[in-house]
Amino acid sequence: MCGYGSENGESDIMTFNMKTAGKGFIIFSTAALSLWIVPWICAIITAKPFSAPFTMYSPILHDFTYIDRSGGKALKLIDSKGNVHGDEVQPLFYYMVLTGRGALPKEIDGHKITPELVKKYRYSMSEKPQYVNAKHAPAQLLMESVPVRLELQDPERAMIFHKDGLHIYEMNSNSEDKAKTEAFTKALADIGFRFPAKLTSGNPTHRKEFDEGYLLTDSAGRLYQLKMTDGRPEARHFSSADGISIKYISIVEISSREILGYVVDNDNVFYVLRPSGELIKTDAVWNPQKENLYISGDLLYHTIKASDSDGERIYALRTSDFSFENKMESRYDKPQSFNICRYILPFRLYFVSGNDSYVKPRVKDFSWAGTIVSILAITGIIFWRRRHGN
Amino acid sequence: METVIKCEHLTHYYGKRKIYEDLNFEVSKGAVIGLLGKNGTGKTTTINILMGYLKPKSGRCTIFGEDVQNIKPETRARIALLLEGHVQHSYMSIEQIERFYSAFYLKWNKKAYYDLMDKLKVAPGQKISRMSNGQRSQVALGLILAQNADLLVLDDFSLGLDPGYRRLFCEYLRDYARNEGKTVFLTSHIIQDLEKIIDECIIMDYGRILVQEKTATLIARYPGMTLEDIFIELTGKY
Amino acid sequence: MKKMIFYKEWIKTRWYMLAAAAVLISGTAYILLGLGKAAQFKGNAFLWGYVIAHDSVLIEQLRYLPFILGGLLAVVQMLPELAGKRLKLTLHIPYPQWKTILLMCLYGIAALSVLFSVQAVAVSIALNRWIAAELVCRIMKTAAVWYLAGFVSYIWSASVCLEPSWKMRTLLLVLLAGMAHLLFISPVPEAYNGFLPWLALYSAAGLCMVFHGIARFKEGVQD
Repeated sequence: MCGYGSENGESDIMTFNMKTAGKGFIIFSTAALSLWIVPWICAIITAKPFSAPFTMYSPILHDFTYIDRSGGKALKLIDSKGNVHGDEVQPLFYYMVLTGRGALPKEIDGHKITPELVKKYRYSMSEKPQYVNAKHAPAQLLMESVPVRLELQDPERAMIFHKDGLHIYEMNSNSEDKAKTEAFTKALADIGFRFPAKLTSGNPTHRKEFDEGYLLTDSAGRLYQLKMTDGRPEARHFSSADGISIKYISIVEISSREILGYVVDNDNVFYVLRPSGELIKTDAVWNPQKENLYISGDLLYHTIKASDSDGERIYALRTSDFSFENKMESRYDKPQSFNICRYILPFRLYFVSGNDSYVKPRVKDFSWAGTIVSILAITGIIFWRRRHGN
Repeated sequence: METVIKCEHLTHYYGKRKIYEDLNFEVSKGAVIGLLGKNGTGKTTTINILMGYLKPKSGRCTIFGEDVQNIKPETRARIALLLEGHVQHSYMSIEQIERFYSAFYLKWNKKAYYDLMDKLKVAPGQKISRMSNGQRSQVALGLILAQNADLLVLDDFSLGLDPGYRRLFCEYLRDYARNEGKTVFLTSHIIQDLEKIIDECIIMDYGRILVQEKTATLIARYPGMTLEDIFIELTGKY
Repeated sequence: MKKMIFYKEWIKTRWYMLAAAAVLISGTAYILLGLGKAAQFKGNAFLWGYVIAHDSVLIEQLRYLPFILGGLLAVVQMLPELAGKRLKLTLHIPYPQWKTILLMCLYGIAALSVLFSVQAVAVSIALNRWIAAELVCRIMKTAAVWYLAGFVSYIWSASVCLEPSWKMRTLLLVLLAGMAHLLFISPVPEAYNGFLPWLALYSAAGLCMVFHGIARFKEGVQD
C-alpha cells in the first residue's frame, strides 16, 4: 500500500535527469549570456565616433556637396571633386542667411528665386526602419480636414480598421460613432476598398498648414486616400498605383502642395504621388525595412538619401518631374579597432536591432577563429574537470 | 536480529581533511545506540549521510535495506528525524505544525503529541519561534513521538537545553524506545544524558571508530568510571 | 498531502501575500486614479492620443512591480527553508521529494498568477472606460512581458535561495541579472510579441535550476 504520494512504490529520488537538466540549463544560459554580453561590452569599449557628412545636391554646381566640419567656424562645402565652396552653392538651403546678406540669387537655371518661393518649396523628411518595422497602435487619429474656424484642431475622433469595415470612435465619450462608421465604411467600400487596411500613413497633428487625411492600402494592396471633410468621409482610389506591390506609403503635407505622398514597391523603387493622382516612378531605390531615408526637397531638386550602417546612396531628382539628375554612392570609411571578441567567441548574439523595435534573438559576426578557440577552451575545461575528479 | 542501519566502508573528506575512512557499523532493530565523539569527529556528518543530505566520497549506507541516497517516501515515514538545535518549522504554531505533519504519517498518534503539548502551557496559536529552547525541544519531541516511527535519528538532542528539559527529553525517549521497541540512533555532547538512555555506544575518534559495544559491557571493563570518564580516557582529554 | 504542502507555504507567506496585494492594489489604484483625473480634466481623447501618437502604454510605472514582487516572494518562501537547514525537514517528509519541491514552486507561481491576474483584470476594466478595447489589448500585450518578469524573478530567486554554494549562487544571480536586462531591454509596446512564448518556455524550464540546487544540497555541496 502506498499512501505517500508515490506511484507503485517508485523510488523517491532527485533524479539524475533533474540534476543533469539543471546543469545543462545553467551551462546553456551562461553560454548565451556570454555570447550576448561579452561582445556588447567589447563593442562599447572599442567603439569609435563616426558620423556621415550631411550631403545635398547643389543647383549651382550641379554636383553633390557635403559639409566639412573639420576646421574652424567658417562653413565649408566640399563637392565630389574635392573643391571647397561656401554656402552660396546651396542657396535654396541657406536662403535665409544669403537673403540676410543680400546674396540670394534672383534666378537659377531660368527659375525665378524669391525667399517666399524658396520657403514654400523647402522641406525635409526622414524615415527610419525602426519606425517602419514597428508594430503601431491599431488605431489612427482622425482630424477634421476643413475645420469651421480654419485652424486645424486636435483630433476628436479615431478610426480602427476591422475586417468588416472602418469603425469611427468619438474619443471623449469612448464610444463608437455608428453613423460615421457606416458612412466611412460605405465611402471606402463604394470605391472598391477591401477591409481591413494593410498600410496607413497620416499626420494627425494640428501643427501644420493643412490636412490631407490618410493614405491607405487595402488588403489587396490598392492605394487610397481618406479624409474627413466637414464631418463627412472623402475617399479616393488611385488607379495609377494598381498593379504595384506596395510595401510602404507616406503622406506628405508640404506648403507647395505638389506632392501628396511617397510610395515604395516590393522592389524598393521609390514613387512620388501627386495630388492629381499621378504616380511618378523615380530612379531612387530605398529599402524601408533596412535603410534610413532622408529627403531634402526644394524648388529645383530633391536630394534623396538611402543609408545604412555601411554606406549610402544619394539621388538627385528634378523637382519639376522627379526625373533623374545625379547619383552618388559611397561606403563609409569607419575607423576600425581591434575586437578581441571576434577571436574568442564563435558569433555574437543580440536581441535588439536598429532596424526594428522587436526583441528577439539574432546572430551576427560569425567567426571561424572564435569557433575554434571556443571549442578548444570547452574541450580543455572538460578535460581539466575530469582530471580533477568532478 | 533485523539490521536497521548498515554502513560499509564509509569514507568522507571535507576538501582535503579526512573525516573518516573505511568506517563500518551496524544498528540492529530495537537497539538504542549513541554516537559519541569529540567535535569534528564526524557525528553530524554521519547523520547527514544517513539521512541522504551528504554524499560520502565512497562507501554505502542502508536503512531498512534501502540505499540512503534513494529512500522511498514510505520508508521515510518509518524514520523520525530530529535536527541539531531542535530545528522546526518555527513559523508555525503547535496546532499548525501538528496539522501539517499528521497529513503525512499514516500512523500519526495525535494523543502522544498533545499530551506533551499540554505540559507546555502555551497558547495554541503561539508560534514556535516565540518559544524558549526548552519549549521548542518539547514540540520536537512531541512530533517525534507522534510519528510512531520505527527508527528515531536524533542529532545532538540536548543542545541548548537546561537540565530540566534534558531530563524530560531523556525520560520520554527512554520509556518510548523501550516500551515500543523502537530503534534509536542519537548523538549528544552531554554524555551523562546518553548514559541513561543508550544500551550500545559507538565512540568515534578522528578518522575511525574506537569502540562499538554494549554500554554495560564497556562500563564493566572500566570499573568505578562513568561513561564520560571512559570517553575522556579513550579519546584523550583534549 | 498536496494540500498540506500548500498549507505550509501559505503559513510562511500569508503576511507577505497580504503586503504584496496591498502594494499592488495601492500602486495600481494610484496609477489608475491619475489616468482617471487626466481623462476627467483633459478628456479621454488625451489618453487616446497618448497611446496612438506617443506609443505610450499609460501604465509604464507598473513595469517593475511584478519583478520585485516575484523575487521577494521567493525570498520570503525559501529563506525559512535555509535557516537552520530546515530544508532537511521539508525533504524528509514522507512524500516524493521532487514533488514536494515542485509543489512549493507551483504554490509561488499560483500565488503570483492570482496577484497578476487580478491586477491585469482591474487595469483592463479601468482602461476600457477611457479607450477602445483594441488599445487596451495592445497595452495588456505589452504588460505581458512584465508579468513574465515576475515569474522569472520568482523562479530564478528561488533557485538562488535553494542553491547551497555561494559560487553557484553568484552565477545564478548573474544569470538573473541578464534575464532581467533582456526582459526590460525595450520599452516599445508589443516589442516582445513574437519572442514572448519562447521566453515563457525558457523561463518555465528554469525550474530545473531549483531541482539542480536541491540535488546539490542533498549531496552536501558547500563552499
